[in-house]
Amino acid sequence: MPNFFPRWTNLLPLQIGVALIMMGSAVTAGLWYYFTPKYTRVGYAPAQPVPFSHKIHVEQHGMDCRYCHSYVEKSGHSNLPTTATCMNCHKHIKKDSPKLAPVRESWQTGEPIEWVNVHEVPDYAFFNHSVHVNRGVSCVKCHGRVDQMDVVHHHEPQSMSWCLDCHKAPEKNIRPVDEVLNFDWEASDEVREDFYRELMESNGKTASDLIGVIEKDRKLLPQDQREFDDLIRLSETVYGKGEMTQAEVGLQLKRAWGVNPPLSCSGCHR
Amino acid sequence: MKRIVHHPEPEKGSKRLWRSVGELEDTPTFREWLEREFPAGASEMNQAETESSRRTFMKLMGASTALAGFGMAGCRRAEKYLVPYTKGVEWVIPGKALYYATAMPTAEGAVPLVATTHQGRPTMVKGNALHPTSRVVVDGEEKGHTGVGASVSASVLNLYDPDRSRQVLAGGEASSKEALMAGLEAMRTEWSGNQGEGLAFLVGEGVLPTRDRLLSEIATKFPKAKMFRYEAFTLDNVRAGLTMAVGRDDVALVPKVDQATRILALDANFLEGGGSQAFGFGSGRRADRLVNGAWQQRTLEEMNRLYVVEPAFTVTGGMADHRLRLPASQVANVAAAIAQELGVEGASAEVDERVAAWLKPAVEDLRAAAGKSLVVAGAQQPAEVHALVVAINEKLGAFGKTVELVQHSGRSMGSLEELRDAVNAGSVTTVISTTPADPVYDAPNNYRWEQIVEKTTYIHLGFHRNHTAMAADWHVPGTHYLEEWGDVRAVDGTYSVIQPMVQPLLGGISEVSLLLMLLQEGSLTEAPAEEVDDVTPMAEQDAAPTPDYEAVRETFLNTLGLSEDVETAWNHALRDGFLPDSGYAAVSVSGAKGATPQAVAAPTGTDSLEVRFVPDSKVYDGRDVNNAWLQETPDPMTKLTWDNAALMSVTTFRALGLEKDGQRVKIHLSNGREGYFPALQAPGHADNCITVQVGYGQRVCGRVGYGVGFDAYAMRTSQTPYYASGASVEILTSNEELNPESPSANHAPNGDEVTIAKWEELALTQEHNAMEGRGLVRDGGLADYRSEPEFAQTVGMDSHIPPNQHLYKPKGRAVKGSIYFNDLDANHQWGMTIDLNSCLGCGSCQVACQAENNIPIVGKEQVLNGREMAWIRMDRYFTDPTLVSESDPMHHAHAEVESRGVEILNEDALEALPQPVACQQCESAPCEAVCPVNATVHSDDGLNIMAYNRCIGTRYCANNCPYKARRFNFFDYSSRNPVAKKKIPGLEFGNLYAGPFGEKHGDGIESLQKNPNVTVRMRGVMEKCTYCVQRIEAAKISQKVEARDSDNIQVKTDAVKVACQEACSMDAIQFGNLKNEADTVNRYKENPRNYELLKYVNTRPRTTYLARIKNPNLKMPGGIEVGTTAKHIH
Repeated sequence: MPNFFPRWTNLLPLQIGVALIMMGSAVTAGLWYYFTPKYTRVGYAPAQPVPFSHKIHVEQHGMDCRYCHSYVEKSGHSNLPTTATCMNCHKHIKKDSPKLAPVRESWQTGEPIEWVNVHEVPDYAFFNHSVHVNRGVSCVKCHGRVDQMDVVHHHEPQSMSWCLDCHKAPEKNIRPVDEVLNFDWEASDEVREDFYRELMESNGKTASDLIGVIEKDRKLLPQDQREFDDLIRLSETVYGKGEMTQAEVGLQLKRAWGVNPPLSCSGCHR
Repeated sequence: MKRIVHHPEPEKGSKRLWRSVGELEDTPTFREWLEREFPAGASEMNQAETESSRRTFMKLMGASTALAGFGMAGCRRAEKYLVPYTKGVEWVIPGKALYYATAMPTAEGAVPLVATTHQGRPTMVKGNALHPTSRVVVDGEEKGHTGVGASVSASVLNLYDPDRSRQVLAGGEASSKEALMAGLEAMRTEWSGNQGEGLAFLVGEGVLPTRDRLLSEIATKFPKAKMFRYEAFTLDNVRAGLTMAVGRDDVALVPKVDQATRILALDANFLEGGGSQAFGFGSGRRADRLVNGAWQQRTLEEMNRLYVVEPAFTVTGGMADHRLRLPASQVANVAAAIAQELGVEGASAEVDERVAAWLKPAVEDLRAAAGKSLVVAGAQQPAEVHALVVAINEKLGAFGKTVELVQHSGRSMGSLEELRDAVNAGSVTTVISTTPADPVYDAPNNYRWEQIVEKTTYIHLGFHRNHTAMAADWHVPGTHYLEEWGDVRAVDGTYSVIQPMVQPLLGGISEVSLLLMLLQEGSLTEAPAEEVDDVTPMAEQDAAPTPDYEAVRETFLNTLGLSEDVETAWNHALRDGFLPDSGYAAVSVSGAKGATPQAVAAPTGTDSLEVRFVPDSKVYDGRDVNNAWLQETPDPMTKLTWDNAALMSVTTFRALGLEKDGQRVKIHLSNGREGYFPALQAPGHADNCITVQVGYGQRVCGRVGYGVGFDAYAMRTSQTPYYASGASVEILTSNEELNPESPSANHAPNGDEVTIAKWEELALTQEHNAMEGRGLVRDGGLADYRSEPEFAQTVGMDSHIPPNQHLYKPKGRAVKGSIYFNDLDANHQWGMTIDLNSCLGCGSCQVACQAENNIPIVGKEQVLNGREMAWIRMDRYFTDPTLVSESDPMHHAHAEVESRGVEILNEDALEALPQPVACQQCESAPCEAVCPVNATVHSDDGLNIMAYNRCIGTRYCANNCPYKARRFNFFDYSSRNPVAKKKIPGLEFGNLYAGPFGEKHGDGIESLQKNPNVTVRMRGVMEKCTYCVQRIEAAKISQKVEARDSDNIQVKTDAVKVACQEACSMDAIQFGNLKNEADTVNRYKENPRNYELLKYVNTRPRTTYLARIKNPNLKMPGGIEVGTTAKHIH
């Protein structure tokens, strides 16, 4: 009986196996990269009905975020400005600019402007702006340098795991509440003495309390060393002399404010 | 290791609490409900469908596969838009709810409300705690209540009813507003010439100042116009009774239930609607009070005692300490007997031995508590009874103390009968009807109102396109109270403003607006000359005030006699919803005359029965028939959904030879009228008496109410509006075919012929989700409670549970007395208590929960399968404490009770015990352990939470829940219409089974009601009570926002109120933070009556119950047995 299969087929199962593994890996890698929010969302920059530039308004004119997004500190939803808000200035400035025609039309007819949604949270997730901006999470952490954008684009993936990364370790991202709207803030901008003094005042805490916060797990200072100077000295020992770091600022704020972001499902899904 | 919980074997004869006759007899059907999560075959299509279900399945599947390819076209990201306002709206912060005070007018007065609106959409209402009718003194402290009745909560859904009237109709055909205006204008010209000759107005009950002012102006303008008032359930008898007693017709009775400690209700279901009377009753009903943080029992004199004489079990009867079941016709006799006993002049009555033995000690008790006792009678009792009640209350010294006679400002108007006579006599030729009733359907049948409509030019203003609307010459779409300006006097006369939350959604015209049009000078057809401002851009213009707003403001500013700063008063009235100190003035009573009621022979046997017509607990007089929330909320007592039935006592049911619930009976009245109804056993009903609820079987209504139930109005005449004697019953032995035109074919039309099936499947929920175990609901007498306060904690198995031994040292203590090991959030741990002593079982919490949590309805077919979605299940247990008790003279042997339960049942001694059960939020929750995908897990703050998007629908959790508190979305209820039928040639099946081919809900208008803070669930997802987690999270967030850079993040004391808690008129539900010692719920957890449901299972539920306490009068027949059920549970 002749050999039904030629000799070269002996290696075929192995070749098929290897090919399948390679193809599988390629598909997995492809999905991994192209189907995650990192790829599908980041960089999304749709054209808006009005070519509004945040860069001009913030960088050149120094406008505050809250002039337009007026309820961001009060409501879960960060509102877009009403047409009337735009016209407060544009009644006088760039009155005849063709780019502003849709705004003027909306003003005349009462028909709203339809802005294209860039950052979308699914219906089953309930994100709340007010609680983030009031507890030291800056705009820039989720939206990127909007103050430098001519056209707004999606800067962060805003996936669930991305949210949870911060909820698990908020100290990596939080900053003093006064600096939330400051897009240029760095932890190194903080002056250690002022930072701790501020922390004591806003919370009604003593130096001894804050020393306790740093010591949390083990005693580092004797009982009689509980003054402000001791606090500064201790923090320098623990976190290193020189500029303040996010690790120090974040951890101190987290402990002093009792920051405890929800990690259970109901924090976001209701 | 698998842990099996062995429920204790019930001892023979200990079956003392039961929900249905089936449970009492332990029928196989009941066993199935008990042992299975859903009945066998529930996951299959129903019988008609099974015959070809496989074929249908293949057909549908084939088609959906074929269509699947089309769905891939949208792989690209869909562009979505954010649409801001052009001009900011005052107070509106996008994403935050706004609350406005308003009021819902009712026949008796008004329900003061606070409406929750989301960017202009009202989504929910609760009571206005500031309103004088909501304020009650509880233990010396004035307290505002937010409770409302189920139908008030559900009224929001009516606003978004896709079937509500949206078009002007002329003779039942579509017309236009312009044509209507032209028609009205022609009529108005004619009336101006003849002073309104032949013009009549037909309005609803209630005192509405602006409406009444406009009617007076119309009467001045057209002096010959006449005014009439009609609703199917009027207060005519009450008014006539007061006239008999005190000789005045401008007075009204306002009971002050909170002041009364001994109350006798004569066929008066005064608790069902919730509201001020329930608040008052609730404050007097408390069994204990907090003194310096410790619980102290009330004395027998302090806690109120309720005597009820009624024909069918109602929630009021359920709360009673002593209940006498009696046909409605005999209640008048009882009133006369009480009057005689108290020495009211001219009153005399003969009552039989049973009644006399009951009445004597009861009246004795009322007399002993003179000045603190109160007698109330139902509006459906004859005028003489109301006159007697005034005389009785005067004898008891009740006036000025527990009841007030007040002078009201309402207009006196003619009755429907007078209008009929006027039309027949030709003196009325045009009727303008604004009553919320539907007289062609609900007027006494002998008036033949459709003929009256035909004889006249009939203009009907109404919210629904109902029978009258279709018959009338003109139908004008009306407005909902949440979209109109108006005002109303509450029960106590407080002037309350009806404020719109939204512009008329579907272009309706309010009653006030219509009257204004008739009064308007100049043309109706031409728009009033408005100043057109084309200079100011639209985005900067303010809307002009509407005429109805101006009219209400005018009433307020100019007719209330306010002297100074009326503008401020008006603004405050809008903010608070009412004008302070505007109640009616009290009138003193002396020498009230009783009256002798006409004697009606008592129904003697099954050949001479009495038939009662009562408003339904859900659809009322029929106006809410298209409200799906109400249709699916079980009746508080019968637990019937999506139907009405002929209710009769178990004794009568058997005497008539009926065998099972739902058997069709044909009721013949002595006046020749007849009707078909499914029969239903209602334990505790008066014998030889049948109760039928009206409002069902409507031929002209929306898709929800269409074809639901049978019409009882067809049997109701003006001679016997509320009860008729001398009826007989015939049991249908085969299906009957009727011509739909025949007067008896009171079923909604269903083709050329109407088939009356001999058996109707009734969607009763009373056996659904039955729980194993005993001592679920616990009660006791006040005397026992005083001597042994902690009696409730040792009922049944709870008396011999060994103390828990823990192998590991528990980490942290979350709750007092608890060793919850997962205490992650040190600031918040949530808990709830439900005080059964205050629970009426009215179902108001269920509807509020439905509104708050976007819970869908499933339709009758799915309720029959046990798939109702309501997160709160209102269990109603019956108990006959005389069965197997030592003091029972019969002393039935245990075995005898087991075998002959129903036969020896003493319906006279029956008590009802309601118990709401929702997810108990167990600390060691059995459901969490079995979820394969972690969709149900424990949160840091002690909630058992559901992540809908993770749920894959295995339903293991529901199987493992000992409380049966989980609900599963078998279908896409939220987007598919569950009540429609789908027809393909040769087959008719429920719309839900058609899957993607099924009909969607209306035109999306009802989705406007949805709470934006709660996910709308889709098919295949498990859901359950979440303790209103959206409210908890909102409270935590707002506290954190306030805290900013401090660590003050614990939610403030009693800051979170859950939806059911707010809706409860009796304050039965307490909710709060167990970690905050100041929260009220902690006090209730310390109450000695506090017990856990199924404690021996050791699930450590966060919801606990407080035992019910009765305050029996030991001199009453059977008094010694009242409230002793729990005592006898071994």
